[in-house]
Amino acid sequence: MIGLAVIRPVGEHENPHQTFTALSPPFNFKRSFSSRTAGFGIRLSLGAERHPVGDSGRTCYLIEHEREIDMSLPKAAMPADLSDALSVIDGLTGSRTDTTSMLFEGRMLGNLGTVPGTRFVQAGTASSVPWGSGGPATLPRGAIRLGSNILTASDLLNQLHDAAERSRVADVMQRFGLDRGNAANVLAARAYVWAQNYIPVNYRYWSKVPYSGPVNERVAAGVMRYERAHPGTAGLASRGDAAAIAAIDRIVDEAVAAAPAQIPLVVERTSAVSPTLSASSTRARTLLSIMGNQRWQAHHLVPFAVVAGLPVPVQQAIAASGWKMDSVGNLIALPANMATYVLPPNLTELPFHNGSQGVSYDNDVRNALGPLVARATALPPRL
Amino acid sequence: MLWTIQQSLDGLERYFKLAEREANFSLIRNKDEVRETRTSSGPDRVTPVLQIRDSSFSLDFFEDGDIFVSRRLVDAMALPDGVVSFHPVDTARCASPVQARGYVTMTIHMESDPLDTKHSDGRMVEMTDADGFSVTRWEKQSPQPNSPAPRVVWRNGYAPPADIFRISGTGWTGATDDLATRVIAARATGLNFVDVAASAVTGELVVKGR
Repeated sequence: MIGLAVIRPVGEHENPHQTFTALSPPFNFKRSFSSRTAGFGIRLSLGAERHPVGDSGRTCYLIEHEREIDMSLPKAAMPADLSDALSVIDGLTGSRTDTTSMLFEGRMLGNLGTVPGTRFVQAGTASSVPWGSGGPATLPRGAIRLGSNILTASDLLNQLHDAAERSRVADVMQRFGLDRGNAANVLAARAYVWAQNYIPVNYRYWSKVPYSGPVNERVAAGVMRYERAHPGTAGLASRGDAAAIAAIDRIVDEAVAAAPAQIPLVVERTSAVSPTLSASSTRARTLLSIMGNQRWQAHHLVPFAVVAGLPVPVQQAIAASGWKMDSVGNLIALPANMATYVLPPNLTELPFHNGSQGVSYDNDVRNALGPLVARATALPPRL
Repeated sequence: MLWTIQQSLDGLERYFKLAEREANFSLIRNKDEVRETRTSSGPDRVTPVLQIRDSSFSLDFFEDGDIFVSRRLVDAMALPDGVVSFHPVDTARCASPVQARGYVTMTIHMESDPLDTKHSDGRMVEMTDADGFSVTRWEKQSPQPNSPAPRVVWRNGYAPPADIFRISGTGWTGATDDLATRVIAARATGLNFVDVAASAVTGELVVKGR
């Protein structure tokens, strides 16, 4: 019989200053998308963020325009609302008509990053986007056929040139247990990151989808699942394909409609070994009494990914000990954003946490579990 | 009057907005290596490699694992030897104006326990120390999402060991009013001096005025 009661990532929560960034990739900061004005060589970046002032938060829209080099407006010069933001863009495009055309009528849902040489099949209904002959064919070694192109998982991963995006995609794959060797899974992870970033700033959705929090996550998870079943949908949507956009519309509407005034982040991670080793954000948030409180997130001290990566006999022994993934002893409520991190009641004591924690945190916990794993693997096999 | 030093919201936003574009969401290129040797004061301590290409970056104080302070803030704090130590930062990859700010990391050596455990919110807990012995000690109550901030009361007649120090049992850095006054007079950016005792009572962030 072994137990995990004494396992606690020592030091991680005793000094928030040291773990601040390890636990808190700042997913909830500004989301932005870019569009390039033809012929002007000026990149416009329209961003929107929840300005973290006060507990209730105040939504404001910020605009910054950049040249090829990183040149931001001073914060004081940033317009305080969308109307002002559009006026700034008008000054660059010449007219509101041009601004609207550039930003909205192109129906771009964001820049997913294109798949070179891939011609996505157009038209059809969103739920049955045709994929050449016979749908998205699954090929050996996790490859898929999209239209006339065959894509492997490594092709798709290699296209992620941006380090931050690569890191996020890797996090998503780990968090949801997606197979890195499967192209559809890689596309799904990319779609999650895309949805989390671009949908909240797209004009179609920005009144519905926040820049972080449960609704944002739910939408991203919905897009991810859809992309996994219908690879390429996000890519089509980002190019203005009507059917794909309709599919995204439906996912967003369902995610928002399913949300009461405030909904919990619903992330279910199912253990292949024991139900007690599965993680449910609903259960975790209920245990921590933060259902509906989007300023806090449930953090598993021993994360699902770490336990799921242990040898099966060790997982069996852990489950047999009575330890549960979703239990008060393995959970802590952490601030979900910077404002909650800084303001009372937290006053910077607990680190902020948004989305899955960093790889370094998981590694620390994995190392802390080392002696336990060694002991457990020395036990006779359970019959 | 006892203050705690906190990163300001503006400072947090400014730093992590830039960091969001980078790998590991950090402007420290070798963050993992730095993290592994942070507690070392010897030659094996890895120098952080800072990469801030935005020449307008001008925070005097920011945290990303380590506490980074500008030369201007170092001068403003005017701390005597032994209270803190400063360690070099490799800023070769930063824009020239950022390099000119002379960033170093700061390690705080002093630790003290100003909390009045009778009147602050907390409890005695049993735990196992690093040597495997069972020990009992008072632990400050953690913040809870749906509750007011745990009450913080400083001991009567408490005398800080230095102008800046770690507050035992918390993640806070304590600072005297003298230090806060000097730093604010220098118009240092990126940090606030917070009255956590008053903040806990009022539910609002109470900071020393600028």
